[in-house]
Amino acid sequence: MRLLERSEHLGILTSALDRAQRSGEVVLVSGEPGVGKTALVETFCVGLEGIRVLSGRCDDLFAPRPLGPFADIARQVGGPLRDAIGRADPQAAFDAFLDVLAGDRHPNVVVLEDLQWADDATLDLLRFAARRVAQTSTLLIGTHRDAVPTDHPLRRALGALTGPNVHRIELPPLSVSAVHSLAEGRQVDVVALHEATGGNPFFVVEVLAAEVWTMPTTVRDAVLARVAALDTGSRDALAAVAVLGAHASPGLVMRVAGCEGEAIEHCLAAGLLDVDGTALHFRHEMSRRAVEGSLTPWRQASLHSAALAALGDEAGAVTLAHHAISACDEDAVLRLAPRAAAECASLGAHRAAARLSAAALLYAGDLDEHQRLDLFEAHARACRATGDFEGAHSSGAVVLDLLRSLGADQRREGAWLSWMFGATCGQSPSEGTAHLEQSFALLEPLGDTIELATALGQAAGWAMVRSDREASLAFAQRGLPLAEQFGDEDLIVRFLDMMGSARLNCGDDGGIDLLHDAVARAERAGLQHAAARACNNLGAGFDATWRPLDAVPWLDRALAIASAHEIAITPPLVLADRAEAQVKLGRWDAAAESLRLALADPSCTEGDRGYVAAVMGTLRGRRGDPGAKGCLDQGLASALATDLLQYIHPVRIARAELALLGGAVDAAREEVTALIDLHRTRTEPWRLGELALWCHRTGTELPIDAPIAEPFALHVAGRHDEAAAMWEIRGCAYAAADALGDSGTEADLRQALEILHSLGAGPRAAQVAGRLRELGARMVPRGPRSATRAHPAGLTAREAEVAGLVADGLSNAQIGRRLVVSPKTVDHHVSAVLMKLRVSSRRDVGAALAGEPQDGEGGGQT
Amino acid sequence: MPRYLVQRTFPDGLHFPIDANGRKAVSDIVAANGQRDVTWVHSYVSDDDQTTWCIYDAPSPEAIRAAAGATKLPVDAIRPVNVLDPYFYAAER
Repeated sequence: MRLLERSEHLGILTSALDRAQRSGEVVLVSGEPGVGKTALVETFCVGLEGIRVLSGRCDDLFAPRPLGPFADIARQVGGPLRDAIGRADPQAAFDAFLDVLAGDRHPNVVVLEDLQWADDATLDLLRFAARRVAQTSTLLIGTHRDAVPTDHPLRRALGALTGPNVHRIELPPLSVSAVHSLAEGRQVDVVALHEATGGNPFFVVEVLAAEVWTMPTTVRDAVLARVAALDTGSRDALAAVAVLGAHASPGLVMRVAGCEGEAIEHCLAAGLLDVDGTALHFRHEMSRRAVEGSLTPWRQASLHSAALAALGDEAGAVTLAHHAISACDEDAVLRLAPRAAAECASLGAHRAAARLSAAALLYAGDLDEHQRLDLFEAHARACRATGDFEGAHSSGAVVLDLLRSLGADQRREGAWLSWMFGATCGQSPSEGTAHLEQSFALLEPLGDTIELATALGQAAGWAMVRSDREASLAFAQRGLPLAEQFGDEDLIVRFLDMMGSARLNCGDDGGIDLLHDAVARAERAGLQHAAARACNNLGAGFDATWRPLDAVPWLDRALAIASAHEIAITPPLVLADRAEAQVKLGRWDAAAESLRLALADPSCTEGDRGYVAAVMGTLRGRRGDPGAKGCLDQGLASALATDLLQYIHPVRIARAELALLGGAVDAAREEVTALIDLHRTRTEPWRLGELALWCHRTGTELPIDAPIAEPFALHVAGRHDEAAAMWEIRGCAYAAADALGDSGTEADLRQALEILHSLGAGPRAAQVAGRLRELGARMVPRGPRSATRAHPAGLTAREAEVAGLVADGLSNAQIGRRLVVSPKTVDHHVSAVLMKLRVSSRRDVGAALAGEPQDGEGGGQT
Repeated sequence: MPRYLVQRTFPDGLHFPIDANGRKAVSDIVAANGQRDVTWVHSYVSDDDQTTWCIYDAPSPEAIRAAAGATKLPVDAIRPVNVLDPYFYAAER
C-alpha cells in the first residue's frame, strides 16, 4: 500500500516513538472515515524492528464488547491480562495492562482503533493508561473519527488527555495532485474525481476500482457498483461477512451464507475482502456498512439468525446478543441480552449494559413477574450508573410495582425503596424522601438487617448534604452498630465518615478520631473512593473550624488518592476547599493556583464554578484586584441555588467583607441580615462567631444566643491583640491582621499594617494606614519596607533579629531583656516569625531560617 | 483579552542594564509571561526609577501575579483599563 501526502504524519509518529524510548508518549490520530487513519498506523508499524506492536480495535456492535480492544491485545499477550478480562475484574485488568506497558522495558507500540465506538470501560482504561504512559517506553496510538458529538463520552476522555507527551494528528483529505497520482494511467477527469470524493482516499480508490462510466455520488454507490459486478455466491459471502462483522472465519462465512469456498476467493481477488490471519473482513468499515445497508431488513435478520446458530459460546454473550437483537429473535434475546448486560456492568461498561437491558425489556411482555422483575431491576441499575435518571426512575417504579404485587419479600421491597431514594433524591427530593420513609417503615419491624443499615446510610448522606448535622449524626449512630454486625466495611466507613464530619463541623474534636478511623479502614479495605472522601471531609472540617494548617495536608492527600486511582471525587471541589484554606493562611499565590487547577479540570461543573468563584472573589477582594464583585455575584447565585448554609454563609460573609473594604456599610449590613435568618435553625460556634463579628462591624444586632468561637468573641469584646494571637497560632494571617486593624492602639495598628503589606492586602492596608494617620501617627509605611522584601520569608528587620535569637534557644523573656522591649512585644514578633516561616514551633525556626522547605505548598496536585 | 495597568514599586530602583544581561532579563520576563498567556505591552518608569506603571494583556489578575511571582517582580496594584486613543477619531474626518 502506498501512502500519499502522509510523510509529515509518519514523521510525527517516528519522532514520538524515538522520544517514547525514554518516556512514553500518546498520539491521537483523527479524521473522517476513509481518510486513512488505519492505513497510516499500519504503514508506520510495518518495519518497526525490535519493537513489539500490540493492537486492538473497538467494534460497532449494538453494544460494544466491554474492554473490547484490550481483549484483542490480551489474546496477543496472554497471561494476567487475559485472565483478568476473562474473570471480568476491571481493576486487575487495569493493573495487568499497565504491567504489559511497563514490563520488560523494551519499547512497545500499542494501537487502539476506532475509539468513537469505545465502551465506558475502555475509555476509563485509556485515560488511566495515558496518564501513566510517561513512566514506560510505550507509544500509545489511538485513532478515532473526528465528528464526535459534544456529549459523547469520548469527548470527555479525549479532553482529559493533555500534557507535553500527548500529540494529535488530524489527517486531511488528499489534494488534487495526490488523486492524480492514484489515478495514474487511467482515463479519468481527476478534478471531477477529487470534487466528487472530497479527496477522501478510500472513496477515490473505490471509484477507481469500480470502473463505472458515471461518477458515483457517494461511497456507498461506489462500493455497491463493485459488488454488483460479482456473481451471486460471492455477493452472499459478502453479505455474511457484513453481518458477522469482525473475526469471521471462512468456515463460518460459508455456513452462514450457504456458499462455497470459491465465492470467498472471488471476493478476495476482487479486493473487496481482506484476510487477517484466519479472519475475513472488509477493507474498510464503510464497505461493510454499504453492503449491510443494501440488504433488505428481512435478509439481514435471517443472516443474523444464521450467524447466531453458527456461532458457539466462545463468541461471547455480547456478540451473540448483538446477533439475537438484530435477528429479532425473542427467545434468544431474552436468553442472551441479560447475561451480556451483566457482563458489561461488571466490567464498568454501563452504557452498553443499559442498552442491552433495554433491548431485553422490549420482549419482556410475556414473561412472568419474577423474570420481569429481574430485567427491570438490571435496567434501572444500569441507567443509574450512566446518569440516566429518567430511565432509572421509570424502570425503578416498575420494579416497585412488581415487588408490591408479588407481596412476599418485604426486605427486598424495603431495600429497593431506599435504592429508589438514592436514584431519585437528586431530581425530585420530595418523592425520594417519601420512598425513604416507606423503606424505613417496612424494614424497621424486621429487626437488624443489612438492608436497614443501607437505608440508614442513604438517609445519613442526604442529611449531610442538607447540612442537617443532628439528623445525619442520629442516622449514623443507629446505622453503625448494624453495619459492624454485618461486617459491611463500605457502610462502616461511610457512617464513621459522617459521624466524624458532623461532630467536627460543630466544633466537637471527637470527630477527628472518627474520621482518622474512617480513612484508615477505607485504605485497608482498598475502598479508594471512601478514603478520598473521608480525607476531603477531614480537610474541609479543619478549614470550617479555622485550622487551615491542618486542613491543607488532608486535602492534598484526598487529591493524591483521586489522581492515583482515577476516581471521580470531583477535584474541583477539593481544590476549591484547599484554596479556601490557603486564603486563610495568606498563601495567596498558592490559592490562586488551586483555583486555576479547579477551573481547568475537565470534570468542573457549573455548580463547581460557582463555588470556585466565591473563593476567587474573596481573594480578589482582599488583594484589591479587579473582578471581585463579579465573582461574588456568580458565587452567590450558585450558592442560593443549593439552598445550603455551608455554601451561602461563606459567600455572604465575603460580600460583606468586600462591601466594608469599599466603605459600603449598608450593603454589608444587607448581607449580614440575610444570613441571620439562615442561622436561626442551625448554629455552630465558628460560623456563628464569624457572623457575630460582622454583625458587630455593621452595627447589626445578633438575636441568636449560642456559644461563639473564642477568637471572634475576643475580637468583638475589643481584645484585639489577644484575638490576633489566637489567629496567628492557627496560621490565619489575614484574620490576625484584620483583628489588629480594628484596634485603637498605634502598636496594634502598625503590626496589622506590616502583616497586611507582606500579604499584599492593599485595601485593608489602606484602611489601617488611614486609622494610623487619624491617630496622629507619623511615618506610616506605604508598602512593605525594602528590608522586608530583602528577606526571603518576608520578615522585617526586627523579626529577623528575634528569629535568630529564637533559633539560638533564647526564651521570650531573655529576648525581651536582650532587645530592651516588653515580653508582650516579643510575643507578637515570635508569632509573626512562626507564621511567616510557616512553622508551628520554635524548634523548627532554626531549620526554616537555614532555608529548608517547610511544606508542600507548591499548589499542584501531589 | 482584558487589558490591565499594573503598578510596581522598586524601593532600590529599577535598573535594566543596556547589555546582554539586560536583554536576558527582559526576555526571561517575556518567556515567563508567555507560559501564562500574559503579554507585557510596555511600561512607564518614574524619574527616580522607583515606580513603574505597566500595561498588560492577560486572562486574569491571577495570571499577572503568577507571572510576576516567577520573575520576582513586585505587584502593588492591578487595575483593569480600556484604551482611549485620539487616533480612533482622526480617521472619521
